[in-house]
Amino acid sequence: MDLLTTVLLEIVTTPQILYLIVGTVLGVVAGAIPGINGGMLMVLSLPLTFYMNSQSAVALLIGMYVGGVSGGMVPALLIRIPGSPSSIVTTFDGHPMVVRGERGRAFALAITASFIGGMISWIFLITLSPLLTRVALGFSDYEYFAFVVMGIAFIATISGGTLLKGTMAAIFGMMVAIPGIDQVAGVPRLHFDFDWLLGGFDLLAVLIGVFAGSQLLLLSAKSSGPERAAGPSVGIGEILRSILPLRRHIIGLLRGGVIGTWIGILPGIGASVGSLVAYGVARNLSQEPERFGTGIEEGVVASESANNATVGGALVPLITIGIPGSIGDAILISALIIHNVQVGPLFFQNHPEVYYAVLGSAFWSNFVVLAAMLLCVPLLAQLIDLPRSILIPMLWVFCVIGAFATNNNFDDVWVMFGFAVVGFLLERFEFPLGPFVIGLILGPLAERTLRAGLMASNGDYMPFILSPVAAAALGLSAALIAWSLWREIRTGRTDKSRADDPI
Amino acid sequence: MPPDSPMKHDTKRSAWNPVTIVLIGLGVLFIVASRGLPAPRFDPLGAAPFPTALGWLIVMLGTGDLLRGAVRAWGDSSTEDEARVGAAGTARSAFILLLTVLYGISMALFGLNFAVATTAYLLAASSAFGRMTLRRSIVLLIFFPIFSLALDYLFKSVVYIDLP
Repeated sequence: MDLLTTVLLEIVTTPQILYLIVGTVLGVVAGAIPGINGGMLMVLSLPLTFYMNSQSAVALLIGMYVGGVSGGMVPALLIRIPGSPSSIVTTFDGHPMVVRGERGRAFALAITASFIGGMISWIFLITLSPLLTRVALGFSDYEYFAFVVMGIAFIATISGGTLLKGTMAAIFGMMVAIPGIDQVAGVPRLHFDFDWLLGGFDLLAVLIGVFAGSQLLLLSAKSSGPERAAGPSVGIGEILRSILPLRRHIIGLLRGGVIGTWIGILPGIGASVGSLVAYGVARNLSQEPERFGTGIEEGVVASESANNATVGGALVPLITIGIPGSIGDAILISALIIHNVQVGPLFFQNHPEVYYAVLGSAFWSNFVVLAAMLLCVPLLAQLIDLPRSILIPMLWVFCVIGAFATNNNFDDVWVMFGFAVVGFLLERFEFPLGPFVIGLILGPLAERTLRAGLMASNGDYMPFILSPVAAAALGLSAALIAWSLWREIRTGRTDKSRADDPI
Repeated sequence: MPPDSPMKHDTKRSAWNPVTIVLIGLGVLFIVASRGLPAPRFDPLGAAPFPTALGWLIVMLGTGDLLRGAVRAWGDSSTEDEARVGAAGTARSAFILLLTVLYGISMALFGLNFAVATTAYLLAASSAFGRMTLRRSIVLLIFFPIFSLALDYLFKSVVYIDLP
């Protein structure tokens, strides 16, 4: 009970609530603009957090994370263009409802489902995290190495693209983290006699380039059609009138929330997979599955409750074992690294104030999203019309500022440009960006735990297999890769991508 | 999933994926460069094996990807149109990137003031999209300097972050 009280009151009794409100509203706005998403906003906002305390930084970024997932529903419903990948499934039934004239009902369903999904995942987050943290305190480097391998295997096989390309993208991300001073032996390696590379690639510059710069290049390449994609408008009154008669969807809301939470807990899997799985389950359990895709309410409920629930689910592995559950979490880890905060089993012990901020932000951001969506949908609908020719250059300015601000030098700006091109090419040639980012974050952890484990065992690899938890994690990784390979061979699948999932 | 779902998107088919070739080259570079690293002294593994292993992994996976691309390309001849369609967009992206790099250079090498460089860049990049009307030009000529000065003030005086 003490934990609950502290978590709920910590944020609202400090200025952090202001950062949370600002972050959430900005996230909703970013999500509502097609082509921009919460992840891009988080990356571009990282420099702003340099001079904040860790709790405020966490409140701002988690607000953006949750808001970004929810805001994507606006263009998904109105013009059938998902504002963020997590809203792809919402277009299946949400847009047909809008076309049929049920705008208020579609928004009421989506907004309520987002809120309930977020709250369900938060309940899991606050109940599971302390238990898992206690278990994780007993883990050694063998288990951590196995978890890192499992995280990479999950995202390489499931996040999008083929197994080969997903794995190559993850390994490439790990390779980018190699140049610089070896963290165990302290010797410089693979810096190819470039002095500026002795410190390694700056993490923020790489993230801004790969995550924001590459998306801006892709957006520039695509924006050849008419700039404005005006959809129908929607009023607050018609949404509010449609909220009360939602009781018959309670089972669907709970089911979507639970599925989204558990999908989110799996390392590296984003909100779009969560909503797709919940949608599939809802269709399979429905008595009229043939109506899915034609504007059925259950479809919107499944998608929106699940995609928001993945956020809370993904925070579970982040704060308990330090493994990012999604790309948004990877960005959050980067922010915490900048603030010298180490997530993992000792997170609560070493930084209880930040731990409370994470849990409190995840809770209150759902209420802020609910209020922002109910009050601002008519305004958000106007954002869809923002001209790309103005938006893209302005976002590039933020990329340059963000890369420069880390170390106050232009080397990082050139690195950012380079990785923008790298990210663009990776996406263009169907290499998913998710595994790259997760590999970049987890690569150093993989090497550190492997070498520390070998030091503890005097060079013997057997403890990595003899530890039951490590063996289970490695076995699961092997099974996942084998299953993915078998599926690709069986279906004769080529490079046809599945849902691409930048966050 | 509905038949025309946005989850389905275009894919290009080519035998030799240039990114795969570059990644294989990078893998070889890692393997070769890791040979020059000192032998382990404090830990059983040392600094070289991890990057070497990553290098070998990417070379093997890349080779597999190339082989699969070659098999797939057998009998597939419909890539030209797709390439032509993508070329215009790529050229526009490249041009915007070039302008942004020049924007960086103007501040890094020529010491141009942030607000001035930003205003000039925003006007040039917006024009590059080719949709400028007289009305929009006038609006942007007023809006972009205000935006640039506002950014300058926000970062330097409110959040205390140095700008280029």
